[in-house]
Amino acid sequence: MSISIHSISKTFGAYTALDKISLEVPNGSLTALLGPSGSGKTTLLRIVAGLDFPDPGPGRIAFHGEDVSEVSARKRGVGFVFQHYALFQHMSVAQNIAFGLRVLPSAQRPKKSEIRDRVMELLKLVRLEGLEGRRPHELSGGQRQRVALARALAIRPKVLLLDEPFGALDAQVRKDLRRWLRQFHDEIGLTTLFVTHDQEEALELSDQVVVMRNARIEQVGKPQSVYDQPRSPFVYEFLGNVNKLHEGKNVRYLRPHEIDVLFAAECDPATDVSARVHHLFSAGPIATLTVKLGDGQFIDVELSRKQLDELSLSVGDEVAVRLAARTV
Amino acid sequence: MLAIFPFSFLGLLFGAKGWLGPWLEHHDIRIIFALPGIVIATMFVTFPFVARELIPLMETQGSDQEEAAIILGARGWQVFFRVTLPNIKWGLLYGVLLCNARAMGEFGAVSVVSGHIRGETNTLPLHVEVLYNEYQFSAAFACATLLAFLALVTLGIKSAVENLTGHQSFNHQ
Repeated sequence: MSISIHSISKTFGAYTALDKISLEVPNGSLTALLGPSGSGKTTLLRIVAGLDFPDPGPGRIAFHGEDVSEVSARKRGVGFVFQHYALFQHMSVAQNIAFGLRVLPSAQRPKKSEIRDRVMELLKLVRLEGLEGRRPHELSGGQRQRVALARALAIRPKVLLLDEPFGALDAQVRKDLRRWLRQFHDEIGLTTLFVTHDQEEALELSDQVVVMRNARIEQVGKPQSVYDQPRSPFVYEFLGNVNKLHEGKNVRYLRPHEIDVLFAAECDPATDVSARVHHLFSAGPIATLTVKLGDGQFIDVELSRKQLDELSLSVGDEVAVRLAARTV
Repeated sequence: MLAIFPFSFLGLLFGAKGWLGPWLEHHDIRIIFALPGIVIATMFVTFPFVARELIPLMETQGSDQEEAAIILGARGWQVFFRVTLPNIKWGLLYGVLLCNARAMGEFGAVSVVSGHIRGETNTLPLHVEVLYNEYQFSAAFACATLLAFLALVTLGIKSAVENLTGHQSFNHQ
């Protein structure tokens, strides 16, 4: 189901958390709400879930065209995975997953055997077979997250909402789970909205990125287009490393990998600028080079190790840099 | 806070000339110098013990689990009995125990409102005083010994609960 957010505002006293936000989350997509902390992304997610309510006014939330603004969180039918998972500590994994089915009114509640089958099916789906008897504190972070996911899916939600799904995990687990979640989403095809402050995560995982800043949406688009055609300096700086070059009154933004480094002898004054290698960092497949331009500004350049080896540079060498980028 | 609540307030509220006094008298309800008075007075002195146990515990737990339960479709009472209560049960038991210990020994507040009617509105500590004032020293000491014994029992249960909670309830991620 698609999610339509129309003109939602939220203020806490004098503080504006959301300022007339409108957004379409297409059916079946995986959409990232990306922004620094305090940009309002988590508040927006909680409002979609029905955990917070927007300021009175024209603001509306609809799932697949059906207005749910007045529907309570209990009846809204969303799956929500909390940042710290909020698993019920005193229940086993199976009891956690079955919770949403067990609290149904007796007329709608499935039979015990049906609940057990559904739990087993979900455990298989999140690849946690055999752990149904464990308590949450006996699981690793990644396992807890998948239990939280299975619990959210047990009620067959209309949409899935994830708050910083990888925030509480260490780097390696985070990478694995990210890939797994993408596959998982493609399998079940449920419209998913997730919050993150990690641009790499948003770009790698999502179909659509929504960049937020100061209670407003800065830009919406596919990861590639948001990265390649940032609409504002903020988006440019927030999505990946960037060099800011001051040219008179203008500021020029350049990604480190958009800059070519040439031998000083190859310098073409029409397109190139001469520079001196100031710092060199070459651990890993990508080497980072800091060069000092003639006018005293520093810029970072990323080169592959192969390119670096061909240039065989060391600190203090004269080079030419080719700046092929646009201004914003 | 509540722990230093002035007990004279009870008299002010429920006494014959208190705010609620005439109304209570009209409806023939006795609070002061009767069992309800003792219960209310004891509650005022002891509830802070439960609150002091539970408030920090519930603050560290936050409301995530409750919110998760609501989103999964649980109604208010289901959230309370299936999620909130199991999470605070050890803290609650511990608070009740401390509360009980305090209630057993409570003298001042109860003395003011009970009226010392023997066999009806007397508590153990009050009884010790009554016996002592009547020069029945051995009876007074017997009661006091009983109180001391109850204190030891409470202490035993308290350490048992502490042992259990050490393994179970405070084990959060």
